[in-house]
Amino acid sequence: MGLSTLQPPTKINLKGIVIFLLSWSFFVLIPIAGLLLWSFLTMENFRPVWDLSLQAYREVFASGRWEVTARTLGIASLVTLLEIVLALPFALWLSKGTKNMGLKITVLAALTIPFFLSLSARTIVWRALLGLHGPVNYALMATGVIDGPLDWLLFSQFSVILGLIGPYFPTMVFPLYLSINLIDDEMLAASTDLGATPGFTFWHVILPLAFPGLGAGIIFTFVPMIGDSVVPTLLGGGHVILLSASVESLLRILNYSVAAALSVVMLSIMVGVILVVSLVSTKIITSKSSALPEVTP
Amino acid sequence: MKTNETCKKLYSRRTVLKTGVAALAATAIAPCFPAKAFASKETVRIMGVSTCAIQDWSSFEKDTGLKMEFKGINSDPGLYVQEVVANEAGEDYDLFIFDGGIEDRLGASGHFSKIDTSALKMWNEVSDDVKSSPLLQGADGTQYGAPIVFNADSFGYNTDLVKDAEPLSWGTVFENEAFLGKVAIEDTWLTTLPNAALYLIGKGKKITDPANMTPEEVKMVVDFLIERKKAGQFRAFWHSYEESVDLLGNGEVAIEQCWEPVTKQLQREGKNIRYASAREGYSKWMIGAYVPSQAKGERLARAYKTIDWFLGGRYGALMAVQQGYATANPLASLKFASENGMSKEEIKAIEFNIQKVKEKMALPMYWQNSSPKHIKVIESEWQRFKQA
Repeated sequence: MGLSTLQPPTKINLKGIVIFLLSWSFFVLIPIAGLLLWSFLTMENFRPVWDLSLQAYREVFASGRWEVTARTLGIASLVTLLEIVLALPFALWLSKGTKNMGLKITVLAALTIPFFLSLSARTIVWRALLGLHGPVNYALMATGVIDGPLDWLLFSQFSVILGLIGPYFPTMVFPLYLSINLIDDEMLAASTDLGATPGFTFWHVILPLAFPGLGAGIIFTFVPMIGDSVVPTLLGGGHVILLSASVESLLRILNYSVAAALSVVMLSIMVGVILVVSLVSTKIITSKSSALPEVTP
Repeated sequence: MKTNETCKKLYSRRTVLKTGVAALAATAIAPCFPAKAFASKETVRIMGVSTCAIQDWSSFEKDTGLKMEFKGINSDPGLYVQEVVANEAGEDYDLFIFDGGIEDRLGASGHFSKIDTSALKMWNEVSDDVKSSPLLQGADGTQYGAPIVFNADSFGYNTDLVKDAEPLSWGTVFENEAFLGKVAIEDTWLTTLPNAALYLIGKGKKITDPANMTPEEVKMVVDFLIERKKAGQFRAFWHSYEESVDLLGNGEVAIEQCWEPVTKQLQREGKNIRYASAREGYSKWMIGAYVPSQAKGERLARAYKTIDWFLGGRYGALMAVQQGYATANPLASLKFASENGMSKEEIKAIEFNIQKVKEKMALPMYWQNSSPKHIKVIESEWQRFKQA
């Protein structure tokens, strides 16, 4: 309903569409077409050989690089899910739980400040904390919880997941905060007046209205995390291989065709994920808003 | 005249390579200004790995009368090959200084010139086993490179924990039940696979050349490494110098396949760390100077003049004292040090280096090869190990 009012009343702006299409083809379509083409070529003596083959795709699967793709998607999905669980109540509190503007600004600034530090600098701290001789192990041993140091605290999937949570929290919180902030307080008051419990209001009023923010949050968090190279390198200790390291290793030996094939596989999955997310959110928004009048007590 | 020539070449190659008109205009004009600016003093332009650079080139400029323009790069063969092949860096640089190995291919493909050894004054003073390194010669024995810096690598260990007598086997790193989860290795096929191969050769396995393994040999080595990884041998794979110092220094691991300066630094910090004498042999690397085939006439003369300086005593003495690395002509370094009044300690460091190099050269080893024949299989097998 909102969209239709935004559309220009009479004719389509032809100039705008041409400019968009031209720049989109130049910046998006050409690189992707190049990537696709590369993935069907083979390299010999640093030069592409111009007969098309599926060799690169076979190598993606033979060297187990698809496992890396699956692991990367798995970890990124898990961390995105954790971010939702952490960010939803936080965003709710920040936008509706407090009316103090000063506090809001301070909290938002506190979330932004870490971005001024490099990701490596923020991540390397975990190594000192979680190492065999680090304070966490020391505290656990001193209190008698464990007898010897836990080696899975560092250089494991655990440490990579832990390390990813911090840097990707703001990208989930900001869109959620903005969308929840836009919800009219009177709408919530009306829900309460009509006898809805806080839980009911959350599920049937807040969540559907916050869905665009959640969708944006998922994309802003999930997509860059797929390509993160800093956290898995520093905290995985070489045991948790994610996509970026795999591609980097290929580029280092100039194996462009396999790198391109791997990227094409990844790109297809990403387009799929984005399609599913947008389809599901559209569906939920429409079904929730149409279901709302019926469940009103 | 020289300037015009360079500009013309830049035009032609960039016209072919780059299609953007604006980019062409910008890049074509830009290189011409600096060329004019330093036309009064001859400049040698080098693209080289930072390992071989010294902090201050003023002594070079005094000795040779040339101005030094050094562009430091990382030891990343991919980037380097791209610069040399696709971007034709030979148009812009008089000399490349890079980890040896790739000259087999870039020499054969005509990107490097054969070194005219008669044009080098210092060439005959360099010992034969150094200059005949396969990392300086093409597959057919053509001399494409001149030796600049080299060393033989093994592993460091904490002497408080590892009490075995030297020389130590590479099994200390790869198959060590007493130190499960207390070992770190370098996250690259370049050194780790051949080191493991050295160990397996010692155990009687048949591998012809650890630095140039066949697909079957690589598979055997990786199968062994996967088995050790599953047994929990490796605590971490390091990616940078700082990381390797940190892991061994803070006790996260007791044994670490690493570079020699790591142990030097930890010793200076008072830690009981020692660089192992390896029983089965060493991982040797060599940084060589290679002349791009585009360098002709005056540019070529400058390149040779520069190589001669690298083969001389001043550079050798500086490297031995500052980095502990070996250079082509250690006797000249020693002579330079005593003639130029360097301190007793510095002279001792140079003497120690000569002794160390002599000992290590006598042992079996392989030359690190950043461009093995089956590089795609090797990289792919390495990924299989990493993912296991």
